Amino acid sequence: MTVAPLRALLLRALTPDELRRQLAAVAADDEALRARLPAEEVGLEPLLDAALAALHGLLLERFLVALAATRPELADELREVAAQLGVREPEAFAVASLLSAHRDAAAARKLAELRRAAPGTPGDRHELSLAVADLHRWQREAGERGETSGPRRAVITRRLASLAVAMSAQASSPSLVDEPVVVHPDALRMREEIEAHVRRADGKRAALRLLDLAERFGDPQVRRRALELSARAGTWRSRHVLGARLEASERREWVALLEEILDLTDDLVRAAAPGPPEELGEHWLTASLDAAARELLHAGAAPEYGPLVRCEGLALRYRKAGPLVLQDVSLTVFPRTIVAVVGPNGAGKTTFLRVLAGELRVDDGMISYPQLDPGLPRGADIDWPVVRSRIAHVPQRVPRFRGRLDEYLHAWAGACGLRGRENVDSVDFWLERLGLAQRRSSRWRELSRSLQTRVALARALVGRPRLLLVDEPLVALDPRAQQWFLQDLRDIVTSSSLRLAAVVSSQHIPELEAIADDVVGLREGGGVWFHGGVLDLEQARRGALFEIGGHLEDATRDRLTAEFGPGCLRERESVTLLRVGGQVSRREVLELLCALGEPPMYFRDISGSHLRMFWGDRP
Amino acid sequence: MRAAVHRLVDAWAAVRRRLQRYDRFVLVRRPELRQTRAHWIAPASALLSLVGAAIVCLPGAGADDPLRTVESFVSPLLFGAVLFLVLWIRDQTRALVSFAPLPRARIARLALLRLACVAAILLPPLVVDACMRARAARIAAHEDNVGVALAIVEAADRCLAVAPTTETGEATPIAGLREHAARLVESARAHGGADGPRTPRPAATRSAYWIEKHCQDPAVASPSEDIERLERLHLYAVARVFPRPPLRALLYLLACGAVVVPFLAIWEDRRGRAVGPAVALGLFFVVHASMAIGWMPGSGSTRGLWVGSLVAVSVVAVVAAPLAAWRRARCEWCLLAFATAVIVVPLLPVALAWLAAAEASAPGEVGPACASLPRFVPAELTALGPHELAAYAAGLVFCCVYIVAMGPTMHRLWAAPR
Repeated sequence: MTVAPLRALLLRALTPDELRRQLAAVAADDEALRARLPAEEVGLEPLLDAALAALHGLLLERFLVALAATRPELADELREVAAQLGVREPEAFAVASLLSAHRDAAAARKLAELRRAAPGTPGDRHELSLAVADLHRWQREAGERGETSGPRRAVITRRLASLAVAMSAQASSPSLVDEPVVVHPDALRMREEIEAHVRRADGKRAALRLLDLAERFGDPQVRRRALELSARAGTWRSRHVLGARLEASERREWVALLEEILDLTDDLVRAAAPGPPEELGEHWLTASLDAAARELLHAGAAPEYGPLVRCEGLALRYRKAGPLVLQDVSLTVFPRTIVAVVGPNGAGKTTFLRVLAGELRVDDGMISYPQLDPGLPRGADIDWPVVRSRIAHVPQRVPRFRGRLDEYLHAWAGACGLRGRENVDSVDFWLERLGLAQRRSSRWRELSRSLQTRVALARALVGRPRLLLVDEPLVALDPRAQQWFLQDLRDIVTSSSLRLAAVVSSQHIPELEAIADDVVGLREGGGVWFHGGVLDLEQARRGALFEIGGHLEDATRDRLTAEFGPGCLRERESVTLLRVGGQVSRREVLELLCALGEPPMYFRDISGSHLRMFWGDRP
Repeated sequence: MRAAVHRLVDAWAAVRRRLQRYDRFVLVRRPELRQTRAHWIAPASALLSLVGAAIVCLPGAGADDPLRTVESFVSPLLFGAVLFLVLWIRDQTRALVSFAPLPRARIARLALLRLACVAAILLPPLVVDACMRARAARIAAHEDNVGVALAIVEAADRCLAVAPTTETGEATPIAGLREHAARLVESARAHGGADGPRTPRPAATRSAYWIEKHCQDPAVASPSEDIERLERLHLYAVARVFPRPPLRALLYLLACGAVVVPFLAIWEDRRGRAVGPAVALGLFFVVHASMAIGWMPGSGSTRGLWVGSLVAVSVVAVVAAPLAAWRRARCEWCLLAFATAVIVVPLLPVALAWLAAAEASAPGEVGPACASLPRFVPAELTALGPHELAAYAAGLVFCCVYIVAMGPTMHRLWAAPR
C-alpha cells in the first residue's frame, strides 16, 4: 500500500490552512497525534508528510471521511484512494457524502442503520444520538436565521463522520458489544423511541417517554429522577429550545440534559427484567391484532392479557316505545389497545361509551368485564362497584373541580385509596406526564379547554383504571394539541404498567384512525357500519375513494369522468369525491389532476378510512 | 414603617405556606379528615371557644348587664354556627367518592367524624354561654344582689300576707317576683355567696319600698332599676335555658342532616325522582312539627293524626329499604325507602319531645301580663332533660347505624347501571 495517490490528491486539493484545520479536528482528542504534527510555520508538503506518517488505521479513516464530509467534490476520489489504502468503509463515506450534500435526514437514517448493524456500547449510541440532536438543533437555528452552512455545522459534520467511521469499524468487530443479551422487549422498544426523540432534538418528548419507561420498570426513586429530568426538559422547551438560539454554555447544558436522559434510559433498560412467558403475549398485543391472535385470546391462552370488555349484540332505547339508540353492537377490548368509536352526530357514540362505563343498562345483548369483574368466574352478577372503580370515564363535558388542581387530584387519589407517598408520587407523575406540572396551582377557571381535558384525563389515570373511556376529547383542541393529546394517549396506553385499554369516541376520524388498533363505525340509528382494524377496512374496500378539495373545472370533471367512468364524481359543498377502481393508485390520480393543470387544494385518500361512511359508501 | 409592613407581609406569607403544608399533609395522609374539614374545624372551634371564654371572663365585659351581653354575643355566635353548619353540610355533599366498594368501617368513620364536626361547630356558643352563665351566677351571688333579693322576698311576704288571695290579679306578679328572688337567693347560696348576715343597703331598701307601694297601689309606675337588674340576673343565672327547646330540635335535626345528607347526595346521583317523594314527605312532617313547636302559625288540632302517620311511615320505610334490597327491587324503590327512612325517622324524637311537652303544659304560653312588671321569660321552657337527651341520642344513633348498615348496599345500587 502506498500513500502516494493520497498525497497527490491532498497536495492538489488542499491549502496548508485547510489541511491544518482538518488535522486539528481529527487530532482534537488525540494528544499523541498532536505532538507528532509539526508547528504552524511549516509548509504544505512537510506538514502533509508528517501527517501521513502520523495518521494510520482508524485515524486515517476518520480523517478521510471527515474530509469527504467537508469537501463533497472530493468524496469520490477520496473513496477510491481510501480503497487503495485498504480503508473499506463505504457506509461511512456514504454518510459523509449525504452530510456534505446537506441531506441530513438521509444521513441520520443511514447512521441509525449503521447503529443497528453495529450495536456498540451505550456510550457510542449516546454520542450518536447527541450528535444528531445537535445537527437538528443547528438546523432549527439556521432555519430561523436563513443560514445554509457555518463553522458549527462543519464541527457537527466531522463529529458525525467520525462516528460513522467508528460504527463501521465496530460492525466488523462485534466483540465490542456489551449490550445485555436479555432485556424486556418493551423496554428496548421504548429506548429506541427515546433515542429517536433525542436525535430529533425533542428533549421534552424524550423525557415524557422516559417517564413512561420509569413508570413501567422503575422504582419510586428512579421515577422521581425521571420527573426531575422531565421538568428540566420542560423548562428548556419553554425557555430556549423551540425559540431563540442557544449560547455555547446553554447548548452544553442542553446536551448534558439529553445525555442524562439517555443514561437513565439505559439504567432502566438494564434493570428491566424480561417478563414471564406471558409477557410475550403482552408484547404482541401492542401490535394490531390479527384474527389468529383474537382467536387465541378468546380461547383463554393468555388469560391475564385477555379481553377487558366483551359485549355482543347490544341494543338500547331510552324509552320503551322510542327509537333504538344502539342496535346489535359488539366489541371486544384488549389491554394495551385503543379502540376508536366514530360516527355521525346522534349515532350513539356517547351512549355506547356510557354503556361500557356501566352508567346505562342495555335492553338486549350481553356485556362482561372478564378482567375487571372478580365475580365473573363464579358466574355471579357483575360486581359493579369493583368494575366501575376500574373504569375511568372522561365525559365530553369535563366535570369542574373546586380549589387548586393538585389538591383536587390528591383528594381524588385519596378517594381511590392512595395514601401518603404513593398518593404524592402518583399525582406528581401524572401532572408531569400530561404537561400539567406548571399548572398545579391553577384553578378551574384559569385553565383552557385543552388543559381541562388533560385534567380530566389526569384524574382518570390517577385512579389507576384498567379501562379508559374518553368521549370526544378532541372537540376543543387545536391541531397541535390534538396531535399531542393523541400521542400521549397512545404512549400511555401502550406502555403504562396499568395494562389499560382506551375506548375513544371522536368526529376527528383520520386523527383517531392513526392511533387506533380497532375502529367501530356507528351509523345513524346506532347500528354498526364497520368494525375492525384500519387495515381490515382497507382490505375490505371494493374501490378507491379520494376527497378533492376546491372546485373542479368542467373540463377537469369531463376528463376524470372519461378516465374513470360515469358517476365517479360526487360533489358536496366544496369537496368532490372521486370513486375509482381498486387498482388505481392515488399517485395516478394526482398525476392526472396535475397534468390537467388543476392541482387540488387538498387531496385525501379515504379508501381505508371510516370517512367513507359520511359519503354514504358501504364497507 | 415600610420595613415593618414588609415584615408583616412576609410573616403572613410564611404562615400561609405553613397552613398549606399542613392542609396538604392531611390531604395526602388522612383523606377523611380533609374531606370533612375536621382538621380546620377542630382547631378553629377550640380557638374560638378559648377566645370567647377569655372575652367573657375579662373583668370589664358586661359586668353590669349580662343580658345585653348575651344578646349581642352568644346569639350571633350561635346564628353564625348554624349558618356555617348548613354551608358545611352543603360542602359535604360535594365530596369526591370513588365507585370502589365502601366498607362499613369507613362509612362509620365518616359518620362519626361528621358528628364530631357538628359538635365542634356548635362548641363555641355553648362554651361562651356556659362561661356567661357562670359569670352571671357570680354576679348574682354578689352581696348587693343577694341583699336586694332577700329584701324583695321579705317585702313580698309582707305584701302577700296583707292581701293573700282576694285580689289574685295583683298578687300574682308579686308572688312571681318573690319566687324569682327566692330562687336567686337559693342559687346564690348554692354558689356560696349568700351566707352571712345582710346589712341593709340602699338598693334593698328601695326595692322593699317599691314592693310595699306596689302592694298598696298596683297602678304604680315602672319598677326600680334594682329590681330590673335582679330580674335579668335571675333570667341568666337561674331561668336561662340555652339552647331553648326549638333551637335544640333544630340543632338535633341539623346533626342528623350532617350524617345523612352527604351520603344521600352521593347515592341519589341523578335519581331525583326516587328521592323527591321522600323529601316531600319529610317536609310535610317538618312543617307540622314547626307548627306544633310554634315556629310557624297553625293549629295543633291534628297532632295525633300526624304523629301517628309519622310513626307508621317511619316503621314502613325502615323495614322496606332492606327488604327491597334483599328482594332485588328496582334501585329507585330501594332508594325511595332508604331516603324516606333517613329523612322521616329523625323527626320522631322531635315529635315525641313535643308530645311530652304538650301533655305537661301548653307550649309557648306566657303567664298573665302585668303592665307594671317586666315580662319574664316563661318558666315553661325547660332545660335539656334526660328523656329529651335520650330521644335525640337515639335519633342520631339510628341515623349512624342505618347508614352504616345500609351503606354498602346503597353504594352498590348507586354503582349499578340505570
